[in-house]
Amino acid sequence: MNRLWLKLIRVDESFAEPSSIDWFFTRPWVAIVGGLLLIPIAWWIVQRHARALPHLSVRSRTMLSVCRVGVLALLVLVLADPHVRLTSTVEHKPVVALIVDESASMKLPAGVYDDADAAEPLIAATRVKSLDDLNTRSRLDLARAALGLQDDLIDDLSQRFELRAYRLGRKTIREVDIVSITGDTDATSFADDETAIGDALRRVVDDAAGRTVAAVILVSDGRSTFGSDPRQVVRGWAARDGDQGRPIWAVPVGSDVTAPDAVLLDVLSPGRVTQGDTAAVIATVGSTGLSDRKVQVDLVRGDDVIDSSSITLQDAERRQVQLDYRAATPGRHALTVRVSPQPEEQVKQNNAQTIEVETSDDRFKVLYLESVPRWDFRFLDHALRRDGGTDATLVMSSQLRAAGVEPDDLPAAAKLPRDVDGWSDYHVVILGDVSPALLTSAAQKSLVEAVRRRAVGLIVQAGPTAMPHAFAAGPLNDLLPVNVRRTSDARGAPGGVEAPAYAPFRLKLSGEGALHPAFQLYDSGPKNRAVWDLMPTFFWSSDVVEARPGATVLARRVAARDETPLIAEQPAGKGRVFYVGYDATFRWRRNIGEHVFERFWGQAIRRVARPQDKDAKQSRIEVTPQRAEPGEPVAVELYAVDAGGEPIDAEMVKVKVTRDGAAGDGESLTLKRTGPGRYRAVWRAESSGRFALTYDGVSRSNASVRIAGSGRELRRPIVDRDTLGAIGDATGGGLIELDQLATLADRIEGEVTRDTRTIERAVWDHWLTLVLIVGLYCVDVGIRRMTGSM
Amino acid sequence: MRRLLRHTLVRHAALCGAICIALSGASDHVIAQTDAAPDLLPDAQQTRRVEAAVDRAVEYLARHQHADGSWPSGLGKNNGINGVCLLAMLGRGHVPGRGPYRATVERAVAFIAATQDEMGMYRSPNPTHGPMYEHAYATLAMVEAYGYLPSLFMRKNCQRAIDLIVKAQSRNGGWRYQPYPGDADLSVTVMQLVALRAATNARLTVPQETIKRALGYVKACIAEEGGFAYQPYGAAGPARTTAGILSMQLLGEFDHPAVEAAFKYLDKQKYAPTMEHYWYFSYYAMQANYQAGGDRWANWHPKVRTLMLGTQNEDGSWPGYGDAKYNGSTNCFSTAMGAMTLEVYLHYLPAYQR
Repeated sequence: MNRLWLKLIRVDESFAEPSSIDWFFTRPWVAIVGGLLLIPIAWWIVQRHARALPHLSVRSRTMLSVCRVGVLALLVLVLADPHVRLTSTVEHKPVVALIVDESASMKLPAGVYDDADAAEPLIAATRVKSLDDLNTRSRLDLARAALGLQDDLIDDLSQRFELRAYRLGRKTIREVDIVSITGDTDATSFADDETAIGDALRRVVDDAAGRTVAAVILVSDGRSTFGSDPRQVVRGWAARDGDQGRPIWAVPVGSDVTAPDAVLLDVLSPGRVTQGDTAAVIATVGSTGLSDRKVQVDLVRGDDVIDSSSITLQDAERRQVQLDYRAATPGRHALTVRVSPQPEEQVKQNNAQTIEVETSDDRFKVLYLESVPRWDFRFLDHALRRDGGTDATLVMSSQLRAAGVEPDDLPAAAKLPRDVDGWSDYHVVILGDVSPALLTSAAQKSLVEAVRRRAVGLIVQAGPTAMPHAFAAGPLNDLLPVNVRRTSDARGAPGGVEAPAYAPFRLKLSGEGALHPAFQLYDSGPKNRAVWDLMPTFFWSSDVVEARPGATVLARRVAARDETPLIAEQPAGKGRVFYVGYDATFRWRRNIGEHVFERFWGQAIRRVARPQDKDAKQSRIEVTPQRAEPGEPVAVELYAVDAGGEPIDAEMVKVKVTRDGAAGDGESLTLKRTGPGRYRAVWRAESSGRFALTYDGVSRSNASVRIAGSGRELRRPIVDRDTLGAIGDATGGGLIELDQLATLADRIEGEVTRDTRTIERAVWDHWLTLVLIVGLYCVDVGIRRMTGSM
Repeated sequence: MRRLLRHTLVRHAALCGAICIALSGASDHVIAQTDAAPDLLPDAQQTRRVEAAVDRAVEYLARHQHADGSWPSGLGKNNGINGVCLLAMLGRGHVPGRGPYRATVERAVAFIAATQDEMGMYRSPNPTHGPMYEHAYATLAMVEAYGYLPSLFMRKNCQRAIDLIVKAQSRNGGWRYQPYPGDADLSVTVMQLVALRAATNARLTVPQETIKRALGYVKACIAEEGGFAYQPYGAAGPARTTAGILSMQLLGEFDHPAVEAAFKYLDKQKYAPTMEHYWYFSYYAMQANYQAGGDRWANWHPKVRTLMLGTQNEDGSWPGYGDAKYNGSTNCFSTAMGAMTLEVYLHYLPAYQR
């Protein structure tokens, strides 16, 4: 009966099985008094009907009395306000999460165990056959072997807690069946995957959805190579949740003794090289346990060793070696850098990395105007001379002035281009801190036209003397991607802003900058940013107020109180303008020499350069970077033209993305307009492979990008007990060895929590009450009419 | 009403909590790194130690500069010392016109500029017997500083200094102590060469013939047993050998057999503060090994770094050792040389770019 009533009054489904149901009146005195009064009133109604309606049958009179009394009874009921109270109690067991790391590093050999006595407990706990067997088994095998023998522990935890199983790689997957992670199986989903321990910890807490997490058992080698830093995650827990601990019991898998290992830590190479040029490929090599060993570092293309160098390893120091690649043939070439494997190495997958270099036969004519030989000029001058893809003409106004040329004669003496055709002879014009005396208003006008109509690229580097503040009122100002604060002083007043001695400026790459070709050192946006954000501080920059609409801010100047655009780019008609707001890029040479500096400037030049004549009337699609990791952003930029070579004006265009070797039509990527003929989108691939991006406009254009793992996972295949211990200690847990898993039963504590919910509902406020009242009244009226009593 | 208020408050608190969790998640979402710096860059801890040592040295120099812009030395007011000290400031990236040491640098430049005589020589108020040594150091420093002092005066000042060097070249291509053609030795020659190279970078006028003849003189100083001699047909010595190697490298002769032979000669020397001309050797050896790169650089720089970091005084200075006579009552000369040696890691000075 109760359930019928509950259904009628539509109680929450979560109270389908309430633990108690209580009916009550909120105004019980009304019920009592009303009920008591109802008796004499009912008697009076019956008597009155008997006197007033003698012609009706007893039955009819009774019906009428029932109706009247019924209505009054309902009235009393409504006024007494009946309610029902439902109570539901749910028991929650605390959650215990068992996370087993199945990333690529867990497939490595467990390590070096050379003391049979010390290894005896581990051998017993995993039931491997011998010490040799222990050394050859993978870390994951050992983990599973140990867990597979802990039936008692699993049963105990399952009874006392809600035991949840997770498999950890780049993503964390929750398994319904705990046997799938403790059983003896070779199959894993994460064979080539990285390790995201921090993300896994977050996942556990998210899944718990507010419930108590009694413990996290993390079985891993501790190397977190992707996603959130686990130490920061647990620090965040402590900061947010205070003492609410989620103890992490970390079970390190693998030996602390690191096997001797030579590792290719990093390869820096240009993404594009000019045919005939020689590119420097910088390999950074590290080692453990191989000090004073001579190894060969080769640069290989296909089966051919194209350069080689011998280095002596030193465990305490990374070694950098330069290998030379002579770019003979246009096209994309895969090169491999490899360190000769040593016999005692257990991990040899980290001895090699493959890079791709595009060789082009494009050459760029560059006109570089400068006033004085600033340090950036002196380094860039050398770089341009070394760059086989550039043919640079340099003009220095101070040189001309020293030779006796008067300011008014500077443009003629410098033999600057006089018209649009003259400027258009160059692919790129670089303006240093030149003054309007050299770059007159007329010259600026023709330069601006050359940029807008002939796609000449323009790079502007700021300086204190004149650029760009002395050009604020001139035609050149319209091209700049930034608004610079105007100086109100007399001509010649220095511009820009200085940092206080105690708070120098810092460069910070934007998200766009991390993907921009000029800043590309690696195929990974985050990795690019990690390097660029470490560039040294500086003390002067131009005084930029803001970026202009349509400009892309690539880097910001971070000061004590604000951030302002520092390096920016924008399309200008058919061309591009690149603005560098300070003159101390020579500082990027700190500790690394010319590599970063020259990469930036060479790439910036190629980025803004007027297209080669052969490409001028073609659509062009570019992707940056040309190699990325799964899930990382790839910028796709398109310059689309019509049959006449003029930029199209659609709001959006589509580009087809297909994966090599995959069936089907692939996916369609929508690019949005960023300027005349220019379109852009950011694309991500979740899986590895080579992808082709094709624009099928009037002229077809295509590009490709390779999505592949970073190789981080195997770069330092140590067992990181420090990280595991740190997160254990920080959360009130600790380190538990594989042979001590059984002790977890005593270490993990938790109480069942009960969640009691109570709801109250009014019973009378229901359509049934209305039906009854109306029904009784209708019956009363009906009887009277039928009997002629009305 | 109270219930409504309570409900509203609870809801907002939950929203704030969710935002906090989301933001902290966003800031935490970085690629986990077990190293302090990306793999391309040198070890972050070592880098910090080196830069801290250089900064202490630079601070020492700034503290001891005279009000007129010169530095104290055992030689009095000497432009060789002033040039070296100014180079140490510049090598750390402290250029004129900006930064915490702009005044120090600008005073030094002004002082040296004011000592230029009608011939173009930066004539020290207290010269040694070898004014061309001092002139070379001062010229190098001034040419480097010129890029941030864009005045015609500065250009002319530097050009006159360079013109003097050109005029003082001897017939055999080298230079010696006095500002006119005569005899020559490798030590003075190297200094002029570096100054001329800096001037070429700075688009000052330097006849190519001068450079070519200077290279010829350096080659003439190749010693038979390997290394470089003070003068042609002389015996090799460690300090002059480093200078000879660097000269060859700066003029593009990286692969000349004499360079490798000279390195092999140096391999036999014991690097220690007891060496003759220790600071001169330290600085040029660091530069030469950097230019060579590969194993040479990898094997050389850690031991220099270890020694330098281990011997720096609390006040930021380095002791003079065998060159203490140049220091006088302070350690400005040795500190400047020590700073310049470590500043090779920074690669800031354009004169020494590869």
